[in-house]
Amino acid sequence: MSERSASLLVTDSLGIQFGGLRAVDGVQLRVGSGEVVGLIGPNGAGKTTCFNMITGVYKPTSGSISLGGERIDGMATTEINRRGIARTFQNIRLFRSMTVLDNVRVALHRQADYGIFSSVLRLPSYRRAEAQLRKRALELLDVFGLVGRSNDFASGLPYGEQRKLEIVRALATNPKLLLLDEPAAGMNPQETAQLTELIGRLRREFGVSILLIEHDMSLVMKICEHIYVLDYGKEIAQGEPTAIQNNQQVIKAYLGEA
Amino acid sequence: MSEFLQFLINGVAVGSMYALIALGYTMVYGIVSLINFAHGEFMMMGAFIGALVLHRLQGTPLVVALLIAMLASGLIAVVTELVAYRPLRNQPKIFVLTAAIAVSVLLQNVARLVFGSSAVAFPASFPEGSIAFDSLGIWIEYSQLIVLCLSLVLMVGLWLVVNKTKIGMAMRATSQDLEAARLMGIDTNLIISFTFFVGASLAGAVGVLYGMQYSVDPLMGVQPGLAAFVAAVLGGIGSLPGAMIGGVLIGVIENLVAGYLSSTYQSAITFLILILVLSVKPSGLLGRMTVVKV
Repeated sequence: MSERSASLLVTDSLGIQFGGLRAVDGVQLRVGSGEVVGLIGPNGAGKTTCFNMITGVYKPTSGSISLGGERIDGMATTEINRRGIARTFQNIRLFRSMTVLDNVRVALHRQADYGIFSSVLRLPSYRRAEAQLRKRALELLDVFGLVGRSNDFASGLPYGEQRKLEIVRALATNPKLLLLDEPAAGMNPQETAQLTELIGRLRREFGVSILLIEHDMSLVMKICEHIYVLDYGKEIAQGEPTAIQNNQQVIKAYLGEA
Repeated sequence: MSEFLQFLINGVAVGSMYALIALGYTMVYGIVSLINFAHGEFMMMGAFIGALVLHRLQGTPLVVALLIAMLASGLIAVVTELVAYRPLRNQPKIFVLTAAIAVSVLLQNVARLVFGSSAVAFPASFPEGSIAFDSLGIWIEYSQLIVLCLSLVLMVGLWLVVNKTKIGMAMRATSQDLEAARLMGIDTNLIISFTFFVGASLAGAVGVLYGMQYSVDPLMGVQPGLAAFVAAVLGGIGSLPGAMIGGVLIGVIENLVAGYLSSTYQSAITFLILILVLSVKPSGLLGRMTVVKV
């Protein structure tokens, strides 16, 4: 096993119980800074539930989550985002009746420091900050080839571009860690190949670490340095892509027993 | 014809006040999916506080009293949300709806206790007189003109806040997807408080206008509150332009019914029209159908 970089995200015996159901149990994830890590497993294995716990949507009933050595489990979602975790959704959740540009601007706004008065009164400080935000938003959109769509409503974009816009929006909150929930779902092979390349660029150009859930194995095997496999809420394997590909337990979980 | 035009003018004047109240219903619904049945009481509180300021601090300019009334109504709404609605947010919707009705009754009785139960005259009134258009045989009262202008100013102000400010953009994002907004670092609790504040301050402004035109009493918010609720649903709840159009429509319909038939049928026919519109277009005039995935 190769050396892994310093830990950014660590979950320790992470678990959650819904009534009598243990949806996730004792999961130990680790994402090093600058790493791309995959989280895979059959449907219903608890992958999105893990994302929901990491982002504070659900409160874990056992274990802990820390980001950069600091406990974040139990914090409000807004606070967790502000500390550097952003995500996309399995079922796209853009602000549909806002423009593409506004979807990104709203995520950038926390980084702008002007008040309501300067914006209503159109003070110079507002104009300057707003011009800067706009520029930043367009830069981010440019990375994903979405600049030409800036003034379209988010709901009017084709599916693949909506998925990309969700990534841009998440990136706009300036995260250290980006959680991508099935980014290639519904994409054709060409789009998936393009996305694979884009995720590589994200890491290189934005220095962001990535944890992704994905069913497209070609993407997972190509870009992830480390993979965790969940089944029925439990971690059944972890390791480098080649090791995972040949792991008997993983094959059994995906294909069932022969 | 001139009779019709006159009813129309009277209707638009009243309707613009309904529209301002309806905006509060629709904004709050858009963000937390709650029909805030205490909204009419925020208007009543605005009227009482405006009257109180003018009464106690003689010589206060009317505009200042109006601003204080708006501020006070807004704050009452923020506290209401914090104390009565927020703790119930994760409970079934019926809980918070019941809480809203309770707050409505509570505020009515607080007003009764503090200000007495009989109607009192507002310490200020609109300038008497009107502008006549002899060729058309109609006239516009100064009071109607002032109400229309102020409503327009407030609506433009609201439009600017919602569409041109950072917090407005966050409001729109929150109303479209609260959970996603939260995950993008938007402080949704602050946005919810702000929405209650803005909606109730518009209602508070209407309270002052209403008081000046008629009188002030603890139950004064009930009828306009109901009319504005109908307006918001008619226009498509959650839609700001819908609330404005719905408000004006309800005002006009009420005046036409009162003028040509009898004011007795005013509410009955208003509701009849609501039922007819909803049976054809359940999401209201400008509302969007939302499909709930199962």
